[in-house]
Amino acid sequence: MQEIERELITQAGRGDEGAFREIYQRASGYVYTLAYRVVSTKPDAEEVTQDVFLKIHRSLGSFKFESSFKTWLYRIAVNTALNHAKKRSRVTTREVEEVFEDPATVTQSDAGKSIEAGETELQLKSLLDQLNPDQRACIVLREIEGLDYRGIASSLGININTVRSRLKRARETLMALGQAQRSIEKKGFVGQKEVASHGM
Amino acid sequence: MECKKVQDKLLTEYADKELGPEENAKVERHLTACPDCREFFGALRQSAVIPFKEAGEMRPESTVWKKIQEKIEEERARSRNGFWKLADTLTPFLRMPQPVFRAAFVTALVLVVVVLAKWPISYVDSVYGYLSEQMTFLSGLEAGNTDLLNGDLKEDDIVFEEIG
Repeated sequence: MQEIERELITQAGRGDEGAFREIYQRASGYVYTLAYRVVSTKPDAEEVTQDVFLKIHRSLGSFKFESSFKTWLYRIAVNTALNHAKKRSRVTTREVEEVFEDPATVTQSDAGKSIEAGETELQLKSLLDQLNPDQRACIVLREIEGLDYRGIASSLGININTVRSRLKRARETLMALGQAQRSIEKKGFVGQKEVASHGM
Repeated sequence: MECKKVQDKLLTEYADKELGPEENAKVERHLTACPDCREFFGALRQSAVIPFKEAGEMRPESTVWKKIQEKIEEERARSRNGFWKLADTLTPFLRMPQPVFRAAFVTALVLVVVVLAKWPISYVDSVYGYLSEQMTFLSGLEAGNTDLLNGDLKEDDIVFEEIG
């Protein structure tokens, strides 16, 4: 996401609906994607996006430009998404069919993206689904948003050691998953070879 | 450097470029010499780093903006209505987590104790005087001393005695 001009933010803070809509158009993709990575389903990501922009609308008037708008926005977005994910994981277990429904919808709505992009999304989703919401938020901020440990710590209101340990546990989980997948593929390959040699 | 320590760094600070130059050089020297740690780092990159590099940006459905607009209108209407204004002011207090409620209760309790301790002495004296008077009266009644009853009560007693 490109940084949004100060003038536009000030205008929106004064109640200019057109300026607020412009901010939404420029930042909603960023907020929605971040939310989707953390909450993992389309309806939840939409709900988070809605909440984030309502929070922004309420507090734009008092935004002091002490941090960049982008930093302020992702702080609100990641914390709203994280709270939503935690609340959701307490209330209900995730619906299995959404794993298959979501990325397809995402690619269909974006005409510029190919089937491979959908596959990438599916792969990303299946990886992130292995992590708990706290680990997911750390991985997203680090790997996708490119924040350093200090940035992640200040965004989530945790200390650097916690960031480090969450990233470590998340990567250990992802590595174990990768290893399991590789061994399944290897077995499949050996099995195919055996079938082929018997056939001869 | 032990492999376990190196792998710990590979999973975190080395992968995230958070190591100082000296420590970074140490890890790299170990990686050059140790095939197991090289393999470990390769697997880490393949499973937990590279897949995220291709992440793209998605767009929300247009209904999201419509819902936001509706909510903004709703909030505006609420802010014009006095009842909802009061309800909106009080709602955050009701949503406070339990520890906050506990802290508020303890603070209120301390405040009551402080207020009572600072109460004017004359008032405390009159309360004490009233209580000790009542105690004397009740213990007198128990001992059968009807002289302590006021005039009205004495007359009632006589009437009851006559009826009885």
